[in-house]
Amino acid sequence: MKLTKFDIGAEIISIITKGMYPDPKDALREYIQNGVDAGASEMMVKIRQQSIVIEDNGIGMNYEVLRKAVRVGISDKNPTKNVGFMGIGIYSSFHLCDNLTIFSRGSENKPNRLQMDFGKMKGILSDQKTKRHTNDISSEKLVDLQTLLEDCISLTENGDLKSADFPTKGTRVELSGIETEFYKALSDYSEVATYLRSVIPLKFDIKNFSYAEQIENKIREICEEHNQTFEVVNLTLQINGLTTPLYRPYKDSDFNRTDTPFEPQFFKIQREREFFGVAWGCLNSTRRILDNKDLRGFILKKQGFSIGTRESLVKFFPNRSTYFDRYSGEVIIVNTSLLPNASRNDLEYSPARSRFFDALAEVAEQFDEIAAKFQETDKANEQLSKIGQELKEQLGTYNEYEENPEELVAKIVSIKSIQEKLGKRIKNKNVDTSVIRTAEVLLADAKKLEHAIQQRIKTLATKQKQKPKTKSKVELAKNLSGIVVKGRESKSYESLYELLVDMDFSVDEDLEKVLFIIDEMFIQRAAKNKAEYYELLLAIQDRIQNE
Amino acid sequence: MKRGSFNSEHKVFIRENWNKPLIKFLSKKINDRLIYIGLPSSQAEDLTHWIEFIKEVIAFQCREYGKPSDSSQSRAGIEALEEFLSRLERERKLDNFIVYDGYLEEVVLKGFDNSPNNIKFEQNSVITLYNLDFCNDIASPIEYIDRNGDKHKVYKFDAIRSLLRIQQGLSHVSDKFLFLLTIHCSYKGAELQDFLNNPPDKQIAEYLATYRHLTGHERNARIIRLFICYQIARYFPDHNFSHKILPIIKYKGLNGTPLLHFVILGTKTQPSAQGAPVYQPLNEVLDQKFISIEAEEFVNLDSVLMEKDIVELDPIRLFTQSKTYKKLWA
Repeated sequence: MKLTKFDIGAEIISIITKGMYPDPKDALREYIQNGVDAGASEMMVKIRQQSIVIEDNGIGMNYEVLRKAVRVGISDKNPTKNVGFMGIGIYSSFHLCDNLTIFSRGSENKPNRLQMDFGKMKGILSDQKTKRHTNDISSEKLVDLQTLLEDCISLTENGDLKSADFPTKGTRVELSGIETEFYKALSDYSEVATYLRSVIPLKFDIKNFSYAEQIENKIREICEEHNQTFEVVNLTLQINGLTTPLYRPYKDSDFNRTDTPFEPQFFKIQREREFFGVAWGCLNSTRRILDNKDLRGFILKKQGFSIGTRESLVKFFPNRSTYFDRYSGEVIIVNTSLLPNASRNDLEYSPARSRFFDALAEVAEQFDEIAAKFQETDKANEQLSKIGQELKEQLGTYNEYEENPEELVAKIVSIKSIQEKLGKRIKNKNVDTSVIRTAEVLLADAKKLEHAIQQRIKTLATKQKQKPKTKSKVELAKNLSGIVVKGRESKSYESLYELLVDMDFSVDEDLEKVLFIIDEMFIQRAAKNKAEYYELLLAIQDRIQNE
Repeated sequence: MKRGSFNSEHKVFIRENWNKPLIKFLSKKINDRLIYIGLPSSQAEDLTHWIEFIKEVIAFQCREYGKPSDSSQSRAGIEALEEFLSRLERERKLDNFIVYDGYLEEVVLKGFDNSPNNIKFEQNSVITLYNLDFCNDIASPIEYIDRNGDKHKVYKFDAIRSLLRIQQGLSHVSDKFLFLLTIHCSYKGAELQDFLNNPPDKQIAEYLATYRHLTGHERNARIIRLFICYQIARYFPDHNFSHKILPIIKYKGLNGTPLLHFVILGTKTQPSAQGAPVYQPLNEVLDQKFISIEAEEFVNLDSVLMEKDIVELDPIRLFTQSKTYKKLWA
């Protein structure tokens, strides 16, 4: 069977573009993506009340390329390298505006202009439709696609434009005669910016995200190791009087710390030698999900395009949303055999897709392990902080001259309990090594304290045995009752002998005599009066205690 | 003169020989092309003359010049200006532009324009070239209805204050700017009437008394000069801008309409309790002769009145010899 141009009706262009580009923002995406495919590093989108302009500094298009661009459903672009490869994107603004004008300066360094009169096309189609409703036109008389395009598209011949008309390399797409309803949809800055962030390979925001440069460089480095490229573009969005550069949405402030989130984690997604891409993720710095729900979890990206939603990757994470929602990150595909499906909510089915998702599941497990380790570490740090506090209290309240053995025994019981907790903490290895080191240091301190108390108990026991019988029953009762006499007793000793006995020195009769001689010859003589004598004895007591 | 042009020979001469050297001087001084705000008209002749020194344009275009805005008026002039600026942008002569539908004062003060989409007025860049043309004879104030349906009165000079306030709040890109203001000699705005009825201080009252025996444009021109200079001397320091007003040019607009052209060089200064430093007393400019144009030359205008101070006729020398320049720009 032989077909002719009359077999493809003009209406097809309206039907296809309406179906493929239901959102007026889709047209922006298509023209920006063409710039990205053209290797642009700088792009500008300007939305004004009369017109929309998308400019890029890419390689531009010469006459031949522009001529080919008007073809419907035929593209020279390589589907494995370029996002726009279906050969329809140029018509994406068909329903949005009346005129599409493209200025481009390509390899020949001569400017070219392509004009599409969508207003006229829509007029012809509308007129035709009205006539069909009233049966005023037969199907044989309906305009075919080729005729419609020939009548409404013009391309300057080489040399028709002066160099000054479009003096720099790259492409400028101008849409004019914007439908009011569409303009309204495109004049909300926040809405357009959010949309473009999800479809364009934007740069990371160096000003607001501490790891922007690190992430960009690391992904590029990994991709280059595997002979793949990671492209990002500087895009500035202007809607009327408001102009700002657009970046990927990640900011330090989205993580629950005032300074910076945790260092990003990177994993290659590969199966044996087959490299699919890179996943990066920053974990929230508290054991909580990210407050900003739009950024929770990971998003699958290919050349800037988000494929599906963040939620669609949860299923690959062993702990599901428990840890997933504490991350913000991306799974960036650079493998050319993985392509997004037409509705861009999944990858096209292929054996490579299955291998990719298997590899992704392994990476997801690693991200979960990191989050679990952080969870345990963070909990452990909290616990260690409490234990450290308890230990400090034990140390602070320990009196090395404690006379009450029961008090000392109670302390040992508390310290043993601390040691037990620390021992358990040290045995649990699913935490950062710093936690184990801290626990070990605390355990050593606890042991030292315990040892000191044990020593004190021994000393007390020895003293108990050696105590002279002269000790009063009252003193003995005091010791046994465990009443702690706090502070220093300002006792006035009548002699050096009395002082030493009071300090639990064992003094026999001979020594007692010697002490009286020393007392008389040195201490009493050194004192001018009784008060000074008492003070000298107290000073001796201090000195003995401090030795 | 082009058909439909708003330009008299004098206006063209001033644009080329007075303003352009100053624009070039400022552009060189700040080492950047300028950001223009103003009313360029749909043919944008001033922009065409100055384009090599301008990188960005914030334009206001009313639908029917001289008449109050009305949604039934044609938007052809606005569309023509946008198309013209778009061409300049495509030719890489301009980096960026925006066109607002309406008079500057109404758009700036009500915060949105008269286009079907009511575009919000936003100024995010420090303006380095103001070109305000108040030479239509619409009586000030203009009335408008806000988004809530409430009626407001808008005074032309409130728009100047509002622009300066926005400029004051913007981050420091350039601290120097050029402020061009053209005004009809027979301007009779309500704020001027109030100024005449209640002179704000003794000096103003004395100047007004001196003008009392004059008539017609001789009188009006001096009253307008006094009023504008007084407002500038208030508004600028209030917003931490130091000012230098160059001698005023009195010239003929279309059909011989007498117009006054003011050039002010503004400098952003550090905020202080005393306001911005001022190195030009008000009487300096009031005691100067008007400058005018004769046989394609600037001249000191002889008048029946008393201004004795003959002024230099080169705008750059005028400024660079001033104390303001020496203190803030040199």
